[in-house]
Amino acid sequence: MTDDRGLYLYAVVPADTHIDGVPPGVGDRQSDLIRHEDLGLVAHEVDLADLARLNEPSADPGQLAELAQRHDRVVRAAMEAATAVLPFRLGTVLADRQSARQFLVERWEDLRRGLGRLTNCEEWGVTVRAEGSSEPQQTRSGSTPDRPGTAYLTRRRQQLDDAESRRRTRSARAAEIDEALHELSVDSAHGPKRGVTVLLDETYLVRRPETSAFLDAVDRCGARLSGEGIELRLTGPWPPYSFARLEGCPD
Amino acid sequence: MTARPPATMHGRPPDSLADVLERVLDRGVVIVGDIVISVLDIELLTLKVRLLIASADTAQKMGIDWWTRDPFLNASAGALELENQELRGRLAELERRLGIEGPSR
Repeated sequence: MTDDRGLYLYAVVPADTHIDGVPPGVGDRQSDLIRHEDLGLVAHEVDLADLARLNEPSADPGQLAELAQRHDRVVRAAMEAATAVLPFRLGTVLADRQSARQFLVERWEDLRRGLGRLTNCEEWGVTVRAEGSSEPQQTRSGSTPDRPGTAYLTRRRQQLDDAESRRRTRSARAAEIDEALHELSVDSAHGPKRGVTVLLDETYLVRRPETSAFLDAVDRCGARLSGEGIELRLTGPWPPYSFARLEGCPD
Repeated sequence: MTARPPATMHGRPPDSLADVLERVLDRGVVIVGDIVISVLDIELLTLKVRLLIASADTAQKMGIDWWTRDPFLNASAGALELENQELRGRLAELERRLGIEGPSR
């Protein structure tokens, strides 16, 4: 098993990409480009045993974290060096260079199309969450009113109404943000986190020339939220992981 | 690639490990067929990561702390209890002023 080698794949890039600056990846190995026509695969050899170890129940989750970070670093550097990058799922391993070439030849059309769609694009993640609780605030009672029961019920109703209107405002804000950012993006994808307090979890595919306009819009949205108990969080730029698809392959 | 000040008025924290894991574990092109050697059981790893970040400590460090802010899972019970106490106090005060005996406890 220890002699078993495979070829670890990171991404497809245009064949003329210079990837000398790409950092070492899994197992500290340096990637190179396997080319066919105008496409190149960023890849390097890998000891299969190193990867297989992660499947063991006793495996340290830290090793997985390191693998994920190395994978991301290489794909990210490839993105910075290239006009387009089509990332592979973590842990994609082919038998050898020969099968990589065969893969490029057989899937050339699909790969070109998938890569072309992502030309000059990066993705940005935006989550919007409600800060604190949407439960009614306790209002301080001043002097005891003449009719405390009625006063209490009135106050309580007011609190519930306020909470409901706060909830509506928050949902409306999230929808406005989504609409504004969607307009400046090529595509968008839902993230998994939407829930009670997460009002928006969305990833936007943005063309590089549009980046400034997109980030300005994020800033404007963030500024408008101040005082409304809503927090906007931005991550990115990421390689377009969420939009990397090939026709005929499961997502 | 972007040489501009960080977006959003809060400043931008670096992408966390949880962000990286979310993207590289679940996304990206998947190839199937004979040429692929399956060395990583991604489903197993995803499950492991989920378990890892489900432990409250780690999750909060990674910034995943939605439940601490979820009123349903968190403070609302305490708030109701407080309100209840306040009402009992007020009722007792009212009864005292009116000279009525409260129900025996």
